[in-house]
Amino acid sequence: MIRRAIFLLAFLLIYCVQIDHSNRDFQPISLKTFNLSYDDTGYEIIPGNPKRIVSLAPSNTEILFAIGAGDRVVGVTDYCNHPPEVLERVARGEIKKIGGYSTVNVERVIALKPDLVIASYGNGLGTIELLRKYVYVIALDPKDVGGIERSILAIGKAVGNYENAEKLVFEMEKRISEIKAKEKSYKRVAHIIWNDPIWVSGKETFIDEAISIAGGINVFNFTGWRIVSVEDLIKANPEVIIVSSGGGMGGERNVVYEWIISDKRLKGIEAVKNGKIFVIDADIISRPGPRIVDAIELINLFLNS
Amino acid sequence: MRAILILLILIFPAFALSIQVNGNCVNDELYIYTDEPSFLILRMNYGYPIYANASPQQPAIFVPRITGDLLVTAISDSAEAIKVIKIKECVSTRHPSYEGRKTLPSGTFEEQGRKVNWRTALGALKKACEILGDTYSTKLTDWGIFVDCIRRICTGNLGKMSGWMYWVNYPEKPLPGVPASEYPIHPGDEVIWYFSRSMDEKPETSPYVLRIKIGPNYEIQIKLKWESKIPPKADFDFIPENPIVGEEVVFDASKSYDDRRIVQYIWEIEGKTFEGKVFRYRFENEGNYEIKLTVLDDEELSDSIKKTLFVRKPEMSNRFLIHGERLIDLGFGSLRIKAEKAEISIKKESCKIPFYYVKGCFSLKSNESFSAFLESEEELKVLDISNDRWIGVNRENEKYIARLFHGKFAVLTPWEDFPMKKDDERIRKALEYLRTLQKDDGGFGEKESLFSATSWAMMAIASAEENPEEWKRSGKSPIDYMREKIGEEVKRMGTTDLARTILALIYSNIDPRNFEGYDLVKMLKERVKDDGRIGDYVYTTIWGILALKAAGEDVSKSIEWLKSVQNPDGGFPWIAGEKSDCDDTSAAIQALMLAKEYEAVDRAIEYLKTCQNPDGGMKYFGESASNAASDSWAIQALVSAGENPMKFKKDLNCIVDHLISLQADEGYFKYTSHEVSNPGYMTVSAIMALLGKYHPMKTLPIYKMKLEGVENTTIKMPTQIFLETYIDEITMVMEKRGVLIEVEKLRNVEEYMRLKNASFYLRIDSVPEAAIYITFAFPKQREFIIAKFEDGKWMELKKDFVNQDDVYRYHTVFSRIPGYFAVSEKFEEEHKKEDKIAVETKTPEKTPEVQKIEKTKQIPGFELVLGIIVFLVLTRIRK
Repeated sequence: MIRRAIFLLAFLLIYCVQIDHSNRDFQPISLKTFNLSYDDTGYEIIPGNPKRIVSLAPSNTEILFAIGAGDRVVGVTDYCNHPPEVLERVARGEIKKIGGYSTVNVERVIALKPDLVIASYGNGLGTIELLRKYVYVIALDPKDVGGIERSILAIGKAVGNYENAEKLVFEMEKRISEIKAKEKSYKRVAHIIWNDPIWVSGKETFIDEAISIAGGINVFNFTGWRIVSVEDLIKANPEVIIVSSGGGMGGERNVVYEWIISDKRLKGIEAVKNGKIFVIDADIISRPGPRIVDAIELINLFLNS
Repeated sequence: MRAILILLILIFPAFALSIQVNGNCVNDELYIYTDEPSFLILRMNYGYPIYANASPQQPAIFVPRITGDLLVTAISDSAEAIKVIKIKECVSTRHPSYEGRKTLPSGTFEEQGRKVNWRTALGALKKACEILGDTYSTKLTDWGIFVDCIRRICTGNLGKMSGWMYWVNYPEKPLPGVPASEYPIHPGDEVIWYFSRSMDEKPETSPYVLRIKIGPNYEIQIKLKWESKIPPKADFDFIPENPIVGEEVVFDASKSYDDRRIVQYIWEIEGKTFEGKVFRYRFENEGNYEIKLTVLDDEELSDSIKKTLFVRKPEMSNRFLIHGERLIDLGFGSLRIKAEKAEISIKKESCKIPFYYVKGCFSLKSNESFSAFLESEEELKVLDISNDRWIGVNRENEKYIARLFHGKFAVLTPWEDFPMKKDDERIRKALEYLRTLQKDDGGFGEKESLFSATSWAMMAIASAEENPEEWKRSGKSPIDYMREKIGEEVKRMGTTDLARTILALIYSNIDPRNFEGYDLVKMLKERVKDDGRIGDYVYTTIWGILALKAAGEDVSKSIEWLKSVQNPDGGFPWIAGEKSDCDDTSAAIQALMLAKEYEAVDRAIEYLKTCQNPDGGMKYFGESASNAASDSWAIQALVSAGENPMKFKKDLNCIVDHLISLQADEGYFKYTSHEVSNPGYMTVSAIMALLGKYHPMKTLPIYKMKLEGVENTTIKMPTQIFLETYIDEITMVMEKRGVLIEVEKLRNVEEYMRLKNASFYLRIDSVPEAAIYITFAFPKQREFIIAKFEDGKWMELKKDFVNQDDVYRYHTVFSRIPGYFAVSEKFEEEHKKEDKIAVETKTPEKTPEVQKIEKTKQIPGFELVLGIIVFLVLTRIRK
């Protein structure tokens, strides 16, 4: 229902509430600045080498696979779909689904007899605390790119793949620094998540940070996500519009994109006039995982195309 | 800093070390030579330094990605040199000297009348085809340039959904979001062009793949996977979709396809094997059947597909010739029919009645007059479905007897265990909790009042049969809050927001067609597309249907669209074509029930059964934990479809018990058994569900109109209202002021004012009091009585015949309003026995004579002429 539409938002909303990364000056990577002693719920992160890992968020699953711990994952959520290997292994029955993101099926998790559960704040504290009675859990709540990097290192530490995690973070930082080294276009950008009603991203969101790293400026100044009117959108007059989508091109319709190009009221907007409307895979921009850098690079591409 | 660098340039040129740079284009190699081995520092626009080595033999190669100044500093053992190069955008199609036949050049080429950069995913494809000596073709679409064919394999060649896709650096990078002509590529990239047959096709599974690897100097390496043997794809349709026992079903495998030729179609049904592209089969028994199709192509490759089909029992349809009296056993009772000589047809019907178990449902028809009595030893209730009214059941000689006539009837026994009563402790506690969410502005919300939360709260309050207007905090009700906020909210409202607001207002007896000057119904109607879809999505259409129907609008086209997006598993998705989910399916059931789409509803309920977890609760999707919202949606859906939710169980656990188990001591409902999330929304959902209220809980008084101060105005009723009430038009008499008239059809009235055999009741309100003529148009073959409730009893109103046409007979009655009216069908026998209808006949208080006007045929504009005539007549009467 509408909750499904809102689900998209839920991911975003839950992950980054009230953060301040305005003008985070870029620093060459120094891994020591991350405190990896405790997780985001204040529990100690114990270095280990778990054999049966359950991931309670798509981002955690992506991180686990990216740092080479994917072969030890035994449970994921209904929404974990990346890398494609996850789906293949689910289809083969090697990985079990343990429920939704905000509706984790605790019984299913425990039945998998995991020795580590990597949870996310969005699973709900009730669920996380309940699981802690039975199994070792670390829970993460990154709020910006730095927080994502810390999550990667924290997971690396907890699963015994710290070196790989470090390499991944280093690579991410390198790519981000390359983008930052480029000349900024300072184009005015709007990120439209949904068209009915019109949800857009404001400040203190992942995409806002991605836009700013990529050299653009978010036209919406409020904090978080909001519904705006068509008039608000026209007034903001973005030079580039980014639309979230589940898939790519290849003939699949993107209703939000189609709405923007076909609604006569939007014709006067700079981005519409100049055809600067781009589709970005919602998964890469809404999940606090390593693919956030792909999103930043893509946005940079959009801004400079 | 910059000044110092410029100064350095001025100071150092005298040194022997020199720098030579070839090239100055963006995205193009720059060759940097020094006349002795040197260490190079490159800074693009004085940004981050990049280090390299160069010598007279071995130049450093650098590819600038942006325009601006490139500062090259060379340091040798003995000297230092600096050079600044202006990096520019180069768009010429020049072929640099280092470009071989297998290198991707810089610059652009023309495609579909547009300039496309060579160093893009499309450029790579073009180059690869040139190298291979093959062709590709493109089309121009709204999205941009779209690759149609590569090496003579084209869009649609392997099934409807098939076509070319590209992916750069699969699988590390995401699927690109821009056309290939706009996706720049760089050394080290790998561009994959693959032919996709379905949404889940990946480069490794595709039969046709072109992998283009870009080397450090844009040289191209091509790997080709071109399967010569491609297996066929099996698929088939069958009609009818829901056959009955003994009916011929046609199976058609034309949807199967192959790159070459399919030579054999093998069907497996009930353990038997058949051949042929199209074949016909009759099923002997009711039940689910699995049909398997295997197709073989001329390369002896094969593919199979299985589909399930449900074969229904034939509908009971029996004709009986009655001479005198006959007793027919219906299974749930007997039908005693008396007639001199008549052919009676009894046809089994399907019906779903909320709050009742249906023991049987049938229609009764005859060409001659007859009398029929349903007899049963068990107590039962009989509903006249055609007229939506209960039929009296008498007890005689240990039997329950109901008198029937032409029409459609349902024989029912009530659910004993559902729904909860509104004064149940658990409902009271939930409502008390809801009260704690009300804010000083009258609205509701967890932290502050929200428009959506307030709409939900109003619905829950109304479902408990309380008046939201009376739920006040600091003197303000939720409706006051909505009045205050509607102006700013209305601009931002999505389709569901509009629909939810309309429903909340209707449930609170407020007209959404004029709420603070906003016609929300009109605004919602503007979102109805030509194909019936409301908004863009399935969930917006469902909400739209519920709200528009509640407002008395015609939603048949939208229902058709909704039916068209039902998935093969019976469920409904949130966006057409997506996977089914449990909540959208529950909502869709409520919308479909408005049009009695039983077949679609049955399939949807089958899907809902797969949503139930072993704890009795419902998941939203996939393997999610049971949650209060999904429980509530499903309970509402089941009730609307006449299924008792107390009987909806998995492993002996019932959905209703699960929902109740989520209530906390404080009265609110938890989201899942261990998670509290959005308790306000969970609580309002649970209140509505446990009270057995589904959407739309109420419909707008079916007509509301403002008659402005003109005397003798005649209002023609919209078709919808006419069909519901038989009221053709209403004419005002002797009123100078504006009068607001409201017509409402009621299923039930208070016990003391029930009229035996009333088909339905009408409440016609007016502010201020007024006198009206009501013209009724009744079907010609049926006789009706119109009565008005006055001084504690029903009085038959005098009917004046006006005219008739092929279908209807038009009668006018005069009455003062406001008042309650009853319309009942008159049966000849009853008429003779006179006392069956407890109606006293009395001449209405003031019955001006209405001149009878003959209406010969329904011709366009006739109403207008009639209106004018009535107007003239009435004017004369007044004089």
